[in-house]
Amino acid sequence: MRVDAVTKAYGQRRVLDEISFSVIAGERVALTGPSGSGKTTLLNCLGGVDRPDSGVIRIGGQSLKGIDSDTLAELRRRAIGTVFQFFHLLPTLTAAENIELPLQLMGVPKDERRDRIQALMSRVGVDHRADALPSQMSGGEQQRVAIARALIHRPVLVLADEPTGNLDSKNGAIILELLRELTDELATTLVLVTHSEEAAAICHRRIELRDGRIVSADE
Amino acid sequence: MKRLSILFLLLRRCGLRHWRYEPGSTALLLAIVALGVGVFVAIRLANEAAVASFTRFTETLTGQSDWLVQAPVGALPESVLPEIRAELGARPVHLVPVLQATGSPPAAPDETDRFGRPSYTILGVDLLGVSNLAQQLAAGRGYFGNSSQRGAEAASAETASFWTSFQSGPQVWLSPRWGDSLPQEIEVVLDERVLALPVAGWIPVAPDAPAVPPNLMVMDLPQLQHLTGREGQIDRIELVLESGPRPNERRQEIRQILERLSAEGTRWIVSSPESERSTANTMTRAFRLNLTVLSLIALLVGLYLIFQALDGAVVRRRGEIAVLRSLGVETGMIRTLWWLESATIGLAGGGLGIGLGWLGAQGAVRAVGQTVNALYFETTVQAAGLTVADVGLGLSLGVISGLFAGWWPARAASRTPPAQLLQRGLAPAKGSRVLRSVPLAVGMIAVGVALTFLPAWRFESGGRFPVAGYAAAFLWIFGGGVLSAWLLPHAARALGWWGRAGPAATLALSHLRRPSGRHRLAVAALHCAVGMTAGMAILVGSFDFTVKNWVQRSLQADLYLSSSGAQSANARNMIRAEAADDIVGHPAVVASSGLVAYPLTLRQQQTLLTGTDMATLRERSPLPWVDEPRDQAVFETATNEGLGLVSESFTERFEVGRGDRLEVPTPSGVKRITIAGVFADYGNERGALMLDRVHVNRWFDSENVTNLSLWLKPGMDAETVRADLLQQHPGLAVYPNAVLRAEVLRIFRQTFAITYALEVIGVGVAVMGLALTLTSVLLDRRDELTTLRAIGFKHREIARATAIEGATVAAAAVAGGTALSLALGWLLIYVVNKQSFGWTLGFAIPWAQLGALAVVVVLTGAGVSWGVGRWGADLPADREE
Amino acid sequence: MMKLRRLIIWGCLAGSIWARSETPPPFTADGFKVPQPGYQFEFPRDHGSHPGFKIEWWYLTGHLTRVQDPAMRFGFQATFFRQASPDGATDLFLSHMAIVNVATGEFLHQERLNRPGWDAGAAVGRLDVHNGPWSLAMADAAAETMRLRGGVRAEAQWDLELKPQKPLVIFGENGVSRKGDAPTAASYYLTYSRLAASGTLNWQGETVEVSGQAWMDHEISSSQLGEDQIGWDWISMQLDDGREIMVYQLRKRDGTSDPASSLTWVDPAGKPQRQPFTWKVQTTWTSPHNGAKYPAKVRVTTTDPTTGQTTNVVVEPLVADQELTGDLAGIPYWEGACRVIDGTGKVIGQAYMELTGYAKDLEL
Repeated sequence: MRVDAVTKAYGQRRVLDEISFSVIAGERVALTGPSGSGKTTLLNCLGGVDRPDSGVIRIGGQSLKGIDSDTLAELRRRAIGTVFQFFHLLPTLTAAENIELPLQLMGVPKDERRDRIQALMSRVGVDHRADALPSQMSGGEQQRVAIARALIHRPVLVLADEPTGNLDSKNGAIILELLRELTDELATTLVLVTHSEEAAAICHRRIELRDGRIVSADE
Repeated sequence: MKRLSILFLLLRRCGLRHWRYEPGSTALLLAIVALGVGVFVAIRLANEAAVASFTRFTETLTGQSDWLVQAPVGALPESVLPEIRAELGARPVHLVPVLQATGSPPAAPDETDRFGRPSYTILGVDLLGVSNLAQQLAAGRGYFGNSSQRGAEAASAETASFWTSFQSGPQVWLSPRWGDSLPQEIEVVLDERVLALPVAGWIPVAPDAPAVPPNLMVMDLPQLQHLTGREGQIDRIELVLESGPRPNERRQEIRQILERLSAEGTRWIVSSPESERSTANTMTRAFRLNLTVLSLIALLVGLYLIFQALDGAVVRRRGEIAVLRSLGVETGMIRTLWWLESATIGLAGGGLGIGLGWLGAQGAVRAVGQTVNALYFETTVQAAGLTVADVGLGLSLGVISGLFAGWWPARAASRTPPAQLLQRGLAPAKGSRVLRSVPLAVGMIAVGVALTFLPAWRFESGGRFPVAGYAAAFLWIFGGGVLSAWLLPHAARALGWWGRAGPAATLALSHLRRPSGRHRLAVAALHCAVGMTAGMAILVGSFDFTVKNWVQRSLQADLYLSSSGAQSANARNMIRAEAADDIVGHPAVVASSGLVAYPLTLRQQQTLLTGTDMATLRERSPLPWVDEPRDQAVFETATNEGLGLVSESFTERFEVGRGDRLEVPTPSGVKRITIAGVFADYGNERGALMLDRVHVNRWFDSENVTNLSLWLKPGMDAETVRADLLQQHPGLAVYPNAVLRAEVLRIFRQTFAITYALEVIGVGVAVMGLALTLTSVLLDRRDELTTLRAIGFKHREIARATAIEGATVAAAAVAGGTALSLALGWLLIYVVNKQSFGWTLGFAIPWAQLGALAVVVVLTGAGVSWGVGRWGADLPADREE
Repeated sequence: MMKLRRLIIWGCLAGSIWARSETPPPFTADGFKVPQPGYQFEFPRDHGSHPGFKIEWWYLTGHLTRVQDPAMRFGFQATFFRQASPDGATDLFLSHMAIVNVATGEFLHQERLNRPGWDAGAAVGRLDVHNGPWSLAMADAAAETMRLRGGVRAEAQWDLELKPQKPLVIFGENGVSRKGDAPTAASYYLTYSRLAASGTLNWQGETVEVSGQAWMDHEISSSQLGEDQIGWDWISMQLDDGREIMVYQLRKRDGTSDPASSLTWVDPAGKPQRQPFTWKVQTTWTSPHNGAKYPAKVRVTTTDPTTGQTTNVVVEPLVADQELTGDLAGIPYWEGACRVIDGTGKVIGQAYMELTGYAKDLEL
């Protein structure tokens, strides 16, 4: 993934100011910085959910600039997985169904889906909750399901926005461990926005933002 | 294909599952759709049933006739029968003379005289001759002397009983649907007598003949003629062709012969059952159209509520939609998804609505039937039936409502950003540009004003439908809604000084300074409801005021008498001449005026020809004039033979006025009448032509009267005289002045009963809509609520803020709505009503009612909003609802 | 013309075989007039209705062929009944119309019942009877021509001029035709035994010119069938040699024939002569409408007055089903066009046969 001179402003204020960096496939990158530094905005731009005012973002060689919203949606479907701070599972679907959804959106046939879901669910340790609704699960369980959902379709890029922000330290650790192991297994790139040191620790490198600029970046 | 399967997957998993987990709100939504569709279907079915129930009573006896011969006014002399038979020669045609009378069951002794009691139709037919008709042969048995015995003795017994029956005195046959067991005799009020008629049996019915209406009675023609004092007279002749080849040729040939002898419609009028049915159809078309318009309003109200509910659902499920968006579902699919969901709700609700509508129709049929009965013609209330077409219509309406109401919410749903962006508090949408355009609104209002100058749309039978008036109403409602919404920020700013009174007010008004599309819609809807409700109140108030005045001015006599059998618009009961003389000669009576009324077919439309005592009229009960006669000639028998007065409805219907000439057919030939003046008359929508009774009696060769007005000598007690008269003539209905006035007003108010119900529903719905709007608005503002609580707002204060917000919305709506109501009131009185019925009403504004309505709406709006605010204040912040 | 008729009447009386010296009572038990021997007939007066008598009918039957196509052959019946109420205060008018298309075998019939008034009636003093659209009236009293307008619904209609080819015959003894033991069981029985019929027939929408021969009965009486009589059989035959035979047999409950049954020959000049006869049913026909069993082929054996020889004639229906099913009055009977065949099988004339009382006790 390559980010070139991405700039975004709200009125007079520049939320992102000439951000440039690149990420190798399979790398885990942490975006850190104080509140208002623009890291969430940057994450959204990477996910195709928000558009920079100028600059180019490339994922897997494909530029996101000038693409219409339907194609962006397609991209999100195939190539990107997201993990949110507040889990954002669909309330009317069971755990298994939540995980299944991205595969269905891609049109994967039923038999294949079943096997993959089964495997991933036991991998993250929620197969005993396969038929539970989100309202019936604990926070930790929900986030594990969310991770499974983010990875089931083997995306190129996983974006995580404070994935442990709503969990206690024990569950948080489990989540981070899962993220590390799975992205290693699947060779998926991970961009992680976080305040927490533990979260940053699982990443290969760290990029710090302040006032919309990169102030430090590991190599 | 893949797209479609994803669509259905999401619909099943995300859309329909919500219904399962929230059965309450789903049921509510279905109920709203069902109600809207149901009202529409009910009115439609009732309309159809009312028209279908126009029975040609003779059809149950004769099968469908080919031609009908009847006089343009009054009766046909029997002598035309041999004349027509001779002219037809050996052509195989049945000629069935019919005399028709109406009667009613006698009033119970303690029952006060009221209009609207059930009535019987008594058909006098040659019961021997009619047995030659194919339909009667199929019935398997004749009228006289039925015996089920067999064998030789039976044959002679049967013959004996035939003769006994055939030669017996007056007797009736009852409809098999009259009751379970056959009574020995039945009491019937005919003219002013109560007669006990022996019952001979049930009317024999062929297996596939149309059902006999329960209130039909049959008598042998000579018996009925004698009973009603109409020997030598018949009301019509039904011609039934015998079966055989080339029926159409033969039918046309017979028509030509009949027309040739008819002296261009002055001796008789030739018509067919189809044309009679279609006349009945068109007579009531205007009335039925008005009902349909009302029912459409119900549907629109339902649409509004569905919209609100769907909009709320979008807001509530926003998080879910956002997740789908971030998972990569396109905006187009989200929109389609929501549209499908609303269409499905519409379909299910529509299905329910059909059932509801059918149920409702059974009740509505009765009410519609009663109105048609009172205004137009005798109908028998039948059950309303559901056809495949009605079912299809109901379902389509449901689906279309769902799609229509769901369009905007679906669009809003598709605009939901992916979950990542959701945390940002987006400003609520301001609403479509069109709905904010003040110039457009003003333009619509102006066009509406122009439309009010257009005349009504006329039907062949004389009915009129004020299309332009309704269109103007619609334009004003729409334009007014936009303007009322425009008022909102100005109102908020104006109230700003009051806002300094507390934080709650400041908060509330701050929202209203930039009202969202939802706010505008709530104002518009409430404004519409208030405007229509108040407008109807103005119409009803004006009607009340006018009719009360009219009643006071025209009902001046002490006692009013008619046959108590005269219950429906085309009843034929009279008070016989001898009885009338007797009554008028009562020692307590100082003056009297008699009125005789005959249904008249003039220029192919139905109206009324009446004869009254003109001198007494002028002296004792002067008419309320629309166009006063220039001289007294019309009131003096010596000078008024060619003069007459007409009612206002008559002038609208026939497009004539004072000074115009009419050619009026009578049994004594065509008479030329010049219109001397026009009077106001709210009792009859078909119009009336009033002539001097002296001449009318001579022309019709009859001294019978339809009703009598009596003035008593000073000091005489009306009740005593009434009791006296009733004792002598038990079949009379005698109304003291006060009772008659009350009765007339009661009938008028009854006609408006349904509108009162609609008013209450309308306002209730709009207030409910306000509540739903505020709910959605608050849900949208949830993060603000969290913030408010965080900075120390108490629940009570949040509730108060919402209450002020709601009250301001309601106040803006009431302001606009009141203005609208004055405009609509004016429209209803001077355009819709005048064009539909031809009546001039005074404009009377019930200020007290309007004021009360305004206060109630604002207070209810505030109260409901307070409740919503309370609920909203309790919303937990951390759970994504 | 009238005087000649009176002579003929007295001639009949002279030639009568049977003679009874009893004078019947003037009225029946229920007050109706009884036909009296020696009644002075006057015409056209006695062609009209006879109030005071209980039952009266004008009865026409005939055979018609299409003028342009004699293969198209029809038989018709037109009857006008007048029946008085038991108290004599009023009447009922019942009419039967029937027509048979011999070639196709189609038989149409209709009944009509009306009270007296504008739509049905029988004039007194002249022949003028009508019921609904049907009518029979004397068009020219001097020439004795009549006009019959009849039909069956709109399926068939006929308009015929009827001209007597022989003088009026008065059957019976002394002007009274006996029908049973009781002195009141009698009728005045007037017949035109041979009428030339010409006019138009509209059959199923197609109008054709027709001509043929008809027979007209006018009977006046006040009695019903006797207690022990269950029905009668009646045949009117018009033979090709210009003679007619009228025979009726009254059937008793015990299966025998009432002695009042009789057969009368009418010679070419119109003179009637009574002869003894026997009646044998050769074949029967069962009605599909009500299961009644009617005679079909009937052999009548009698003495030919011209030759004095015994002669057999067989009467055979031209179409089997000519039953009037009696929907209105409830009395089914068979009345149909027949051919007359001699002993060698040769057709020697045409006839109309009437068979009543076969279905009375039968149920559908």
